[in-house]
Amino acid sequence: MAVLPDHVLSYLQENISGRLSPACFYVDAHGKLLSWSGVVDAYPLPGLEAGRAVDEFIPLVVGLNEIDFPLVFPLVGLAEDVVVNVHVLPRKAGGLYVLLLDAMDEYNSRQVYQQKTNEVQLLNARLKKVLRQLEKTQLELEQKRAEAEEASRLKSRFIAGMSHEFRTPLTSIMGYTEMLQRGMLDSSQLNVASQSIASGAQHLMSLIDNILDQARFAAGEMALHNAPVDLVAVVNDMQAMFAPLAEQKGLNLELLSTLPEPCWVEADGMRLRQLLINLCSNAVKYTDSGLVMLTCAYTEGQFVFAVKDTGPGIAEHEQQFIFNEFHRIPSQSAKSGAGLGLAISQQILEMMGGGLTLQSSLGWGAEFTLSVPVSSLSRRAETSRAGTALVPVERTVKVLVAEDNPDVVQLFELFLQSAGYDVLVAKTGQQAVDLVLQHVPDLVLMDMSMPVLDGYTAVQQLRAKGFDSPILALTASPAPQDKARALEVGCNSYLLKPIAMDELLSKVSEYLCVEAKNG
Amino acid sequence: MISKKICMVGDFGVGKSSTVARYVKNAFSDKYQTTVGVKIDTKEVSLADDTELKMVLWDIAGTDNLKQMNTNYLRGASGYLLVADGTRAETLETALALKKQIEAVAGNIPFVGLLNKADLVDDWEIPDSQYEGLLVRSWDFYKTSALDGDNIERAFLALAHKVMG
Repeated sequence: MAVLPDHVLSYLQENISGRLSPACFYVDAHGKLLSWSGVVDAYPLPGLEAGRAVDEFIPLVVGLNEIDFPLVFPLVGLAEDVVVNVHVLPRKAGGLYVLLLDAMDEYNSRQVYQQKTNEVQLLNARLKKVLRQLEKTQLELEQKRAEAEEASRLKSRFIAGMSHEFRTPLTSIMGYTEMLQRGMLDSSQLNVASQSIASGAQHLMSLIDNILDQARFAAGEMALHNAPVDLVAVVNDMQAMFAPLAEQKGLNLELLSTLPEPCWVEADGMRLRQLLINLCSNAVKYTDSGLVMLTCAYTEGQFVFAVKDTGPGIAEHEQQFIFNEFHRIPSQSAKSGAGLGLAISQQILEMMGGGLTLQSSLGWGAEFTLSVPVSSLSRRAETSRAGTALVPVERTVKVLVAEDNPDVVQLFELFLQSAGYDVLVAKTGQQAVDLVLQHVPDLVLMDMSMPVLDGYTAVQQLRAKGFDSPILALTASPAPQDKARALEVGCNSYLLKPIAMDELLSKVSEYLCVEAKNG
Repeated sequence: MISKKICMVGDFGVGKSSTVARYVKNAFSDKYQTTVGVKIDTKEVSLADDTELKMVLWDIAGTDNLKQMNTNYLRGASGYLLVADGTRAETLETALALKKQIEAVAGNIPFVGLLNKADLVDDWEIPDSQYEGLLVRSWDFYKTSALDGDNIERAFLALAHKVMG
């Protein structure tokens, strides 16, 4: 290659020196600065001195002691507003040449471009993130909408189902009632009518209980109340309760028990009965011929109760859904029911720490087995007074019924009068207070929800005025807090509507310490 | 005094320059300033065994691939800080990919990982399980914040001890 003319070289040298401010440093093999040349003053190199370690004022050479070929480090920022291109070349005698060339102009032009590019990319990343969050939110909203639609669909189906469930027993109740009112029934028909009315009412009560239980579970208000329970009595009750219906359908209902007699345990007796009733009721309801077999055992703290039937069975693909609330097996939907019994049973069992299993195949019946942990009690629990035989009252006992519903008043009057009680009636809380103070009855049945003055306030006033005879609260609210409130204001006990005659008279006699007449 | 070259490596915008500014000058600016090329700073530290160490910090412009970077910048490095932005999960993937590329160029030199911007809790994208997965591999990874200085000093000191062997 031909050598450039001297005046061109001189021109280039002048321009490069003027624009790039070259500064060259000579470094020996031990990293000591030997000397320097060029525009050294253009760079911040405090303490520049021959013989010192070069990395003390040019730290970028750290780690570059031995190189075999030239290295270029573009755009190296040494300090604020000082950016250089660094060339490091090996010296033949060992050591390095370090050449600094000013690169501030290049840096400035590239920095502006790079700044914009990076800012745009960062904004894009943020935008993508926002879009992802929007998509996620949209998906969540869609899921919530689908859940709301499903809930609405279930609710509609439930209301439609309930309408049917309520109307069917109401048809027989209303029909027979009308015939009774018109005096159209002879003595044998009266028996059929009363049985039908009682069974229809019982069915309605069971529906209401199931719906309320489900609502309590949904609100997280369901609680267990453990007390001594005789398992033998519970399972015998099941047989007694379902034997008439089984007989009516021509079914054999058998009980196989290995329980020791008696078998006292600590459990929530009401919920335990509810579980067993749900299983027995389903078995008898869905079995048209053959057998319903109840087996029970108590071993190692577990009460196991199984109900096996010869009904239609449950197809395998249906078995995963039958514990869902409101679920009805399509082929069996003609049978009455709200689709809540098994769902509630499972939830109760979960609370009890137990479980419910199913073995079934289509056409071969079904067997539901529940197991629940219950602690055995060595002592016999006190027998409830509910079963005490009732005999006629031997003296006049005054009972005041405070109730605003005239039908209920009339019914209670009939119940109590038939047992030989003298009955006073108040239609408001205020009237109740006035009558009690005037006649001083032996016992008060107080409806807690009445006009003018409610039952709670009336009881408070009576207790404040020194009335100390028993007051039994009457209420349609099963909420535990209402029961607690009634006891708190001074009631002795609590009766939940609807109340059967036996239950009412038993409770009244219990608190009067007299034996009442069993009408 | 011993001098060691330490490189700051990671995607752009993860906070490498802010981390250096917090460590060297105890300063922070929330204005984003892109690094072009490389910016050199130094920090002298006294280690537990009384060794005086000058760390020459090469704050290299952010990149998601070494091919776009002048690998001469890594020449002579004794260790590096691998920085990711905890509010952009993809920058951790980038950092781990860069780690592999660095190992191919510079060998298995010591490193310490930073998941930066830990102060932005609401925007954090790295799940704890993923973070724990990094630690399980016996890698030093710190959740750091250049804004409030959390774990910055600790991470640099950890690397200082590593490069001193």
